[in-house]
Amino acid sequence: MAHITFIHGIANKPASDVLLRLWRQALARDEGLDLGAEGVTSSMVYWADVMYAEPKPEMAEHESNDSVIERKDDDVDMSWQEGLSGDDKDWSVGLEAKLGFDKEPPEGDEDFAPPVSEFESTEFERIPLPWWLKRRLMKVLLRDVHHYLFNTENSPREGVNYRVQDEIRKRFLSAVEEGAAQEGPHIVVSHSMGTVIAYDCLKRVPACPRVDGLMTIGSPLGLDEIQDKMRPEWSRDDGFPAKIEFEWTNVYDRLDPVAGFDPKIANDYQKNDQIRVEDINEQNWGTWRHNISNYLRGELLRAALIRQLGF
Amino acid sequence: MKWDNRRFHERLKGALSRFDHNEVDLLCDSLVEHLNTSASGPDQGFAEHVLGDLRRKRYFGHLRRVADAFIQNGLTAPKVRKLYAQSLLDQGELSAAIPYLNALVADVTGAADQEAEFAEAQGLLGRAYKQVYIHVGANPSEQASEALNLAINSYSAAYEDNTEKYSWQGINTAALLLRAEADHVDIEGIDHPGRRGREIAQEVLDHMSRLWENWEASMWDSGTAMEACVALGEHDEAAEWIHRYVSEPKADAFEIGSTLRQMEEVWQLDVDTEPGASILPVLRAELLQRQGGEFTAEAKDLKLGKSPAHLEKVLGSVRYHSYKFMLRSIERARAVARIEEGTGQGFGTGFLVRAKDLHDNLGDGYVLITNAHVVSDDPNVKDALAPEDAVVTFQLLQEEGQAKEEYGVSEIVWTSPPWKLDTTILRLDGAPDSVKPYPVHPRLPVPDGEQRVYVIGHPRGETLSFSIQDNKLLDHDAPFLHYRAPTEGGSSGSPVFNAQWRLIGLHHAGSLKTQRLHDKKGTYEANEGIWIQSVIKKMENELPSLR
Repeated sequence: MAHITFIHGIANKPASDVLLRLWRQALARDEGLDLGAEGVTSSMVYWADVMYAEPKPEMAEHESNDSVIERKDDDVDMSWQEGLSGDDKDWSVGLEAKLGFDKEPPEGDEDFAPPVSEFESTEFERIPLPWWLKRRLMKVLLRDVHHYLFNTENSPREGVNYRVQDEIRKRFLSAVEEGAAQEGPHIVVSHSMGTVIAYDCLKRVPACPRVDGLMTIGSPLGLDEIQDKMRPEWSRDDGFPAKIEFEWTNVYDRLDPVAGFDPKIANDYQKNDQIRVEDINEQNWGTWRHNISNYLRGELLRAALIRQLGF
Repeated sequence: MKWDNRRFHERLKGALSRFDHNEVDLLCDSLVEHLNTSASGPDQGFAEHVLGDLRRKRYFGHLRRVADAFIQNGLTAPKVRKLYAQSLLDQGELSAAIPYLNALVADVTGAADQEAEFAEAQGLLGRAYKQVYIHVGANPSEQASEALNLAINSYSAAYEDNTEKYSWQGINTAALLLRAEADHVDIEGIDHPGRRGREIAQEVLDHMSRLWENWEASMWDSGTAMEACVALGEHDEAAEWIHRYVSEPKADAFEIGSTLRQMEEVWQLDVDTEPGASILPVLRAELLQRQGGEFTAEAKDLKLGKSPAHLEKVLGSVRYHSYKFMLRSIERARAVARIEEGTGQGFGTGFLVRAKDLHDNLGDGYVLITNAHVVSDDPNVKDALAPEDAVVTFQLLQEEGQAKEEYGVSEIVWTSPPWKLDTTILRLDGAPDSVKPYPVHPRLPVPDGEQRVYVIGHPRGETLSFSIQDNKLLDHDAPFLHYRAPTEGGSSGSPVFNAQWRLIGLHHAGSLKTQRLHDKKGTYEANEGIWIQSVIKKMENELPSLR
């Protein structure tokens, strides 16, 4: 029986079981891939509780599973940056500049978003999101990536302290061990920041079990700042984790604000100087192109996953 | 063991979520016994949790029994009495429910801190009278007129108390006022019930729209807004709200079933005209996909209205998927046959499958699969119909003019007795050719107690029906599948489909005490099917001449 280990991305999420159900439903929609009906078991590496006090209530109507879409007056607390120094600070400042959330919106309009039909020719902004939303998204991305890569100590609830990377790596390994124990192919399907975690564990944690396939979706792994933090295990011509038995498929929408800085990553994660990652441009829709539910409804993504499962 | 409310509640929640009727039954028995023998009085919070969970999962018989025990043991809080009344209503016991609710309304009228209970009790009373009107309203009478007046009075008493808080009572007031206009029933104190109904519907819709814009709308609010749009003739807007409503994961079979009933019984919508053409297929299709709904659809319930292209436009691609899901179920139902004795008495079910999907050398066209205990030419199989005595009819195809009245059996291709695979494959004397081929699936669902299977057959030998309540796959161990679809006699030989309507098995038996699979000890309530791939493999081995 095949098994899929899912791992979610940045920002707060609904409770683990709800999130897993939402992902599976999205994958099954429109006569898609119904994992349960196909005899495929699955689990979710849930790490939102490492960063947040409590799960986010379900918001099915918007089906985004991405809590960054909230009211624009909710800002992200960035006070964690204040105590940084040395490499840590340099890294954070460098990535912040690249993510560009400190830029002022055109004409000071926080709701400014170029129309989808026009933004492709707009040089200063290639993401058709309201400014406040993009700013919020990039702040969450910077914080979550930083806390993971620098193994920051975080206390999401009173009396609970985590070393972010240690805790999430532990959870990932545990889930992957469970998946590896099943018969049939074992595929890791990761989204957003989850792709960084999956890659980090498969490439850099010796105790991590082998998997048959990896799928990265809406991934920021193309960012130099992230690749640099994967050294020394990572290099451009030896970036493909040996722990992946067969395929690594990377799915992106070039208008996805998280993946959009460098959506194609095959050249950055080669195996013995050979391209092995398959980059798939899955046309998403709407303005929220990082949405996992939309990705999971994509025909190309589903075809790639069905192939990885051996059906 | 010492009684522990928390532990009991956890066990009950688990049994309810698994739809484990036996366990729920045992737990409720133990709770009633505990309440009747305990020295201390019942805890109200605990009672509300337990009763609320039983209500949500539609265990109304259990709800009634347990609520009664709480009340008898001194817990007479309005909330508990209200849930007891609801159990009566949902079991159709209107004569018992109405006086009980009238007494409850009298007790909470004007009482401090009981405003919400007053509104809820009035709403339930309105619902009871509404149901009386639905039952007797077809024949204009004083009794019908009185019931409609009382229903409107009950709902509007709650709504007028706080128009923003009690919107569902408001929309019911509007619905019944418009129904009064349509049925020419006089409503005391209201000269133009239709006009007043539309005014209330507009108030409700305005309020719902404000809630939506402020991200404060609940699942119920979307359903209420949809109904307000129906009242106002805003059909496109109604379709938008229904989209929001059914997108809510909390909109379970109970909620959707209630909304569907309201649309059919009170609004009298039909699939041939708007807004029913856009609303009913979606509600029915969504109901088909929800877990735990007590829904046995007959062929007539699945009548389609407008063209699919129209619905896709109205609903958008996401909800349109539900509609396509229903279309798929109808396609499958076309291949399902009733197997009768020569006397016309229903004997079992069978279904057409493309012959090539069972064995490469069986040629083109279709064969019919049924159980060997339904049709067999094996002299060792007692009580089965002999092939020459079997008459085969296709209800849906016949209604559509695509099949002749009856078919006979021309040949038995292969059979395996009831004590082995209980399968007979036969050819008909000219099977209908309008059946669309459908997939014979190579894989079985995960036996995690969450996966659904669908069975289409002729229970009791009667009309074609879809068995989709509490229909979870419990376990499988080739060649057997165990599931909890509540099939009845006459379903033998029905096809078993996975959640995507792909064929996985052939239904052959069901029992309260089915032996568990994988050599596990003990029995449970389950139906048993034969995995279609086991049949295919066995045919491959036993039919060398066909290779």
